Amino acid sequence: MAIIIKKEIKKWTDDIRKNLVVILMQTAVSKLKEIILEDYDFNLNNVANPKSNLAPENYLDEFSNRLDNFEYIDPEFKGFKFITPDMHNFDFSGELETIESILEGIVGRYVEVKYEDYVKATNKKTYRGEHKEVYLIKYDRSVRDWEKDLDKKFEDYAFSNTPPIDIFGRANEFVEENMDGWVIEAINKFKKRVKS
Amino acid sequence: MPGMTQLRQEDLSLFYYLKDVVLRDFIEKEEEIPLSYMPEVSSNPDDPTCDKSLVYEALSDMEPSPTERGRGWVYLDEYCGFDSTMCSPVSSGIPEQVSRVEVFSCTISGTTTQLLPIDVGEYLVDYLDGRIVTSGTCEPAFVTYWWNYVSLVDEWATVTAADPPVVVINIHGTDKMGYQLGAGKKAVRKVDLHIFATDPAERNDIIEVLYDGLYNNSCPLFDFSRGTILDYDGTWYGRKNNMDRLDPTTNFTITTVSGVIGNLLFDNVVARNVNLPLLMTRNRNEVMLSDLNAYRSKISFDLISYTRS
Repeated sequence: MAIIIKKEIKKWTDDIRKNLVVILMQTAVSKLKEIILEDYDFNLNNVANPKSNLAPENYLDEFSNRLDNFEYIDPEFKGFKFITPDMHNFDFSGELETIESILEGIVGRYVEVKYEDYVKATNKKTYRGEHKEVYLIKYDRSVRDWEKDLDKKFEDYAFSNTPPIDIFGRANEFVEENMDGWVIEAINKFKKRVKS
Repeated sequence: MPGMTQLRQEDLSLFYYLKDVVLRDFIEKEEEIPLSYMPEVSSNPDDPTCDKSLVYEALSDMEPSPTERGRGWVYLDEYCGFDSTMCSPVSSGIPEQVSRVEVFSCTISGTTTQLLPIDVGEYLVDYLDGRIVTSGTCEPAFVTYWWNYVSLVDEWATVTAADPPVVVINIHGTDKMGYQLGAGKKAVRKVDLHIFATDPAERNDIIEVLYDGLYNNSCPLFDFSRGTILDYDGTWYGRKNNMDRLDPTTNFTITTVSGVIGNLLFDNVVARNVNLPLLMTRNRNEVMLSDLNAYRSKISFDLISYTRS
């Protein structure tokens, strides 16, 4: 008898969990992504020169893709665990490292130095010999000397000396505020189904 | 103009708790550093109409500089009664140090040079700029002092004003809510401490000490109604009016904020390293960052206070 009840309870909780997953994936996740992208746009876009390869606008599509592929529900966890993206768990590897640097805050003044200028100024060639390369280099005496030698002014990096920017905080708050409501909605759906 | 807001009181209380309690072991000693007279900031010694004020600067070539932003000379003795556990107003006040800064005059007889200690009542110490101020009753020549090794600042823009190690306090969010039926308020501040060190070992040391100082801990919330321990010019509070350091009435008295229940509580303390790759690659673009960004860490925590009404 006890085993039957236990099995039945497990079935019910699985049902509620499934309902919750559907609610979260259909409504919560899309709203959450919307909030994060809004904050990305508000805080990062239109700050740097849009022509710059390092302008955050250029990374928005990739950032959005990673948000789509983010594992919001922990499959390993025995109960139910909804994960919201933050600086610890979001995948910034590869090309999004530039965005990670901005979000963590950058200390010091930097300038954008094009590859050909870098080669001319230092007489050093790197193993990547592409024309599109841009270096972000701390603006110090030696870089000022390069400017004199090349007779040009390097462009200031727009996020120099910028404190950390939190684009995940508002989304986390949104989930915290609404999670109880979503759980109740999942239970009510289950109740409705059982009654019918 | 309204008095100091609770946010500023919390910011300052946290600042002094970290500087004078948590990081108090991160101090270094420089011995017998020569002092140089600064005529440009001293009063004219020949002018009888104004008080004599002769300023001497310590000629230290230490790196990082002891007087860089956020550092300064140590103004508290080892056991001064300023402690994290106190929650009630400090009745006797906090005394200015008498053993952290020693000033000497110099006498030369033949080939021997002798340093003679000058009484602490003969001079003022400017702890921020590393200077000694006298009224002309003595001639300081050398100084031995302890200085704060870790620069502690509360503004991101000033990180570059000092060489590492630097710790930046950043209070970046506030939530206020009720905590009981009826009156009373709970304020939760989101705080980050950003640590910039010169190498991984130093970073780990600072992280560990700061973490232990915060985890399961609290600090008093002071009202700072009389200002802070140091005056605007870096000297001890009110010292210019009374040079007698052993006089207990010159101790810095401070009270905790009335209406706040208990201490400022630190909760949800999390520490992690911030690894910004020195050489990053985006397709064919390479990005380089400086070494100040190389050994970074961040401690995040909630700063919680409970107000009665």
